[in-house]
Amino acid sequence: MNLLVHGPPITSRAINKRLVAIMSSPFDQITIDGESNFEESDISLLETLDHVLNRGLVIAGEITISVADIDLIFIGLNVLVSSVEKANEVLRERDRLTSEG
Amino acid sequence: MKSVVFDKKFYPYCLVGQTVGLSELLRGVDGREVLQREVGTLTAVLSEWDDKKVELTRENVLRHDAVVRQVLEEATPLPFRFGHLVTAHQLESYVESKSETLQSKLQHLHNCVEMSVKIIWNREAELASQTPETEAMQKVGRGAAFLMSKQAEFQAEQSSSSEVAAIASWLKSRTSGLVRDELVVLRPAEKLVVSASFLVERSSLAAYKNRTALFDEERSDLHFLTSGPWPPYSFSNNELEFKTHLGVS
Repeated sequence: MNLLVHGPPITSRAINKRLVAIMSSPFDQITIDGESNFEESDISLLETLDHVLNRGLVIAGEITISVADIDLIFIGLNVLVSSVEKANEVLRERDRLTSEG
Repeated sequence: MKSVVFDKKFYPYCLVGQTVGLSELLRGVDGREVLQREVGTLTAVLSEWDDKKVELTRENVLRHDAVVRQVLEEATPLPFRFGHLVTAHQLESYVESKSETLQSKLQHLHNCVEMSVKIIWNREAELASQTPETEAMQKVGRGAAFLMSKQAEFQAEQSSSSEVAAIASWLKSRTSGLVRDELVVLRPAEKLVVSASFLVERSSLAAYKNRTALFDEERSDLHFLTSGPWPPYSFSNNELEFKTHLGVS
């Protein structure tokens, strides 16, 4: 499966509750529903977070975001992995049912 | 363009080699006006700031990226990481002390964008087969069982590392000739085993996309997440990295 995300990330979509949790909750409060599937816009946001928060020029001593915030991004990428696997399972199941039908 | 006023605080988005045309409607982090200021031989794109901190919100992260993206439409920016607050003096000192490196980096990145490839490898079945035989471990003492367990872990890690390195080599070979630079991070212990950033010239972008579109067919055992074009976030800071003990790269 190829999840392709091109072009500028989302700017005006409705706020996704799960992503709000990722952005604002402490580590131990984040719960992810195993059945949930992330949409392309969600993945695009996670990619944006990965770039904007983890990369780029840093002036020593002047970064203002905390370690906990960066850890949240790491969590986000793990969530992404889970969602890709889940999506793949759904696709496999659909293929199987199609071939049987 | 105004000169820098000392002691004021600024939120910087990026450095760029020349002034760019920004939309008057563009708003930066916290909805603030986006300005351009000469800093040494470069131009800083920034907002004036009177608070003590920057709120980490989804909206602010997207606004930061939106500003850098608008600069990217016209020039090649050196993006700052989200969350800086600097005085004009700090910004000038930074640019002055790193002037040669920053200029050289701008030259290296000129007319390029960043493209990202993440590879997910689901090998739970393989890893399960590599776990030590619990029955055999039960027949030996606790000390020996512990050593057997550690040896199995070590062997699994070694095997996984070499396989992930092979995946990374394949990826590099498939993008060879289409990229000016690359940064590939391997994470053999995780499911997201490879995180790669490629610096691609704008003129090669279509060819790069055509190449990556074939990845699925070539490696059906892997999942690919490709994204871009991005401002060159990953290539802005290589030699300028502020090393911390926080595990932040």
